[in-house]
Amino acid sequence: MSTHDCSDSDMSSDEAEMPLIKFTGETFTPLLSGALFWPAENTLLVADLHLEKMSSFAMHGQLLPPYDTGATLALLPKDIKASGANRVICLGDSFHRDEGPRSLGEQNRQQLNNMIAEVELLWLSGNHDPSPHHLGGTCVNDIDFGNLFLCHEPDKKTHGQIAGHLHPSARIRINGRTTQRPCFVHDERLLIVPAYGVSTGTLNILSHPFEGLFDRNKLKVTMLGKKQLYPVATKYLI
Amino acid sequence: MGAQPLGFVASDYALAIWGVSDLSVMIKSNRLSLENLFSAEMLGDDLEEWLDESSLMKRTFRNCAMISGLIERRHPGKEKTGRQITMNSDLIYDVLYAHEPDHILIEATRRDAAKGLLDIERLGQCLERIRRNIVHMPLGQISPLAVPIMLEIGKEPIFGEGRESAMAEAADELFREAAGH
Repeated sequence: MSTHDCSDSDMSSDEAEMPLIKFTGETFTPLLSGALFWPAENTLLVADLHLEKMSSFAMHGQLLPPYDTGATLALLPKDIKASGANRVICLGDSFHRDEGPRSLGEQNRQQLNNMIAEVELLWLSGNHDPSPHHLGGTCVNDIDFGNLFLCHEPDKKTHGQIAGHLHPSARIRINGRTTQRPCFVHDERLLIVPAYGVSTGTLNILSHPFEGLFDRNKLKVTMLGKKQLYPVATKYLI
Repeated sequence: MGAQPLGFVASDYALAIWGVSDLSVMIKSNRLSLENLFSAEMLGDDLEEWLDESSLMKRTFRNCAMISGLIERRHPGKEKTGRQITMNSDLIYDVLYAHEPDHILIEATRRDAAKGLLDIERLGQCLERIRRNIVHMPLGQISPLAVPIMLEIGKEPIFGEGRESAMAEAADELFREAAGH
């Protein structure tokens, strides 16, 4: 077996707090924020930023605090710095609405510009933000790396697919304790990255929208704790 | 104190706290001091810090947000309209608390929580009164006054070490499974 979440050496060394995700022969480092770092490509993958989510509610007369965009954009530079990535790929639904890029405030635009000055930024289109925009960086539908295919919505057939869209979270019960946290979830074919945006909710990976996507027997789940990541035994999932 | 509490619930007569460790054994072996646990000093900054992140505050905030018209309650059977978007009020609380801790809704939440759910002053007097008068008695079964509270167990969760330990244990199990192969 070559595709264990964490090889024995990972767990026994000081690196126990940094589990690795091995997927289609590539090795990834999941980060506490929900970003996935791909060292071989020096690339940071983030999904479902849902920028301008709160402000889009304001259009309908629901005045929610609009700080989510700034808060999400403030997280990214930290992960870029920590991982040393020189490329960031947003796996779609970067904006909550297709018009989101236009309602972006001056301060948030500056945050983006600062980031674009540092790294190569790629936006994949999502169901919430299908149209390309001119905020900087490159807008594409999906990216094919040969052994890996990056896109927004996961499907049931593509091999080596990395996607977002579903905002996965795992709910486990063990000795009477239940806890539900966002998670990375993958089998040998598909990897789904948790939602990165601060205003996003989650969906249990055992719920209906995930049906038929994963081979339950090959399922690997890495939960985001408060201070560390936990690759968990799937028999505790509920 | 490292007891990894998972939740608590209180009535007029009783307070129940449950955790990962056997609290009774911890008290017996002096690893957990009831005097410290019920010390009036706990009512200071610690409480405020904990309160601000507790589900108690978030629930109070939900009411405040609803009254102010920030979010709307969804009724079963009623179709969702443009204005009625399911918005997790916990997320709004977190964002608002991080960026505008003095916001009028956060302030209202604090006051509601302080008056409605716990009266700090009375609690302080109570703690003063029971000081050095606490008797620890492990029981073989649930006492009559504790019965109503046992029915409500699970009502007020604590998202701390106890919850993290569930993930840690599930991770240990995965490691054992992998090592056994």
